[in-house]
Amino acid sequence: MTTDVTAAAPKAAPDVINVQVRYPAAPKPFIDPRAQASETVGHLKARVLAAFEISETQTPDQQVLFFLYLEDQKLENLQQTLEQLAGRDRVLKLRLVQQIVQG
Amino acid sequence: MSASLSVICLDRDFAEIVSQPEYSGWDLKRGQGSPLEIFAAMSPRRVSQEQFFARLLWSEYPGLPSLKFHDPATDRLDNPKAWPCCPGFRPTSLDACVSWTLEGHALHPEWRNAPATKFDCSGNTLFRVLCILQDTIDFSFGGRHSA
Repeated sequence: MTTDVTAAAPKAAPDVINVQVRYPAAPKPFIDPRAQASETVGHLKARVLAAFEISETQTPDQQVLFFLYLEDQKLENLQQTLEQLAGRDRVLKLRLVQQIVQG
Repeated sequence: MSASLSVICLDRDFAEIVSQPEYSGWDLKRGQGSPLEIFAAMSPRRVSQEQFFARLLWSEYPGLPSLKFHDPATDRLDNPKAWPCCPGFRPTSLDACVSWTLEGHALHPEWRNAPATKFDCSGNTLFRVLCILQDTIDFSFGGRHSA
């Protein structure tokens, strides 16, 4: 059984964010309780893809892309920092979503 | 994997899920047609009045399941209106071209070994498939198909 990421998470220190990323296709979520508040979404996404051992691919026929979501918000600004997204409790719960675009 | 071992593995994973009270939101039933058949009733989180009845069928478990949607009114699997509209779902073809179904991998054999699309069969595969399906209809639901 996978780890329950909905459980209350401890608050992180001021300069760090407790990040949890759920990817339903993976057995366990990505958890980094001490992610730097200044880390960008793009950098976090790269770490998450590496942790799940997946990568975006592009061929003439199709693209397999991944996006981070905060609730229903697609995080398309990869320069945004975790600080800007996290609430006062310094916890960021995200989802990783696979999107397949067929040519 | 032998057929009997597949059944043992699915029995184990099914029992693990239904023994967890927090997952009681899924109404899970074993199929009558095959010991490797599971029916799961689920609703999109924001459209709770809509209910869909997924039929998962494995030829080998753990592995990729075939996904269809059951129409309880007719007890059939060939009604496009029984399908939710979600990315990759093709109600008129009665299949889902996604990386976690047998039909998807049949259409795209290259998905089997690609890092982005290979399917991880470790752990409780039934639970994983149900989570992916629930996540899909929670966040990517575009209404019931109206053929």
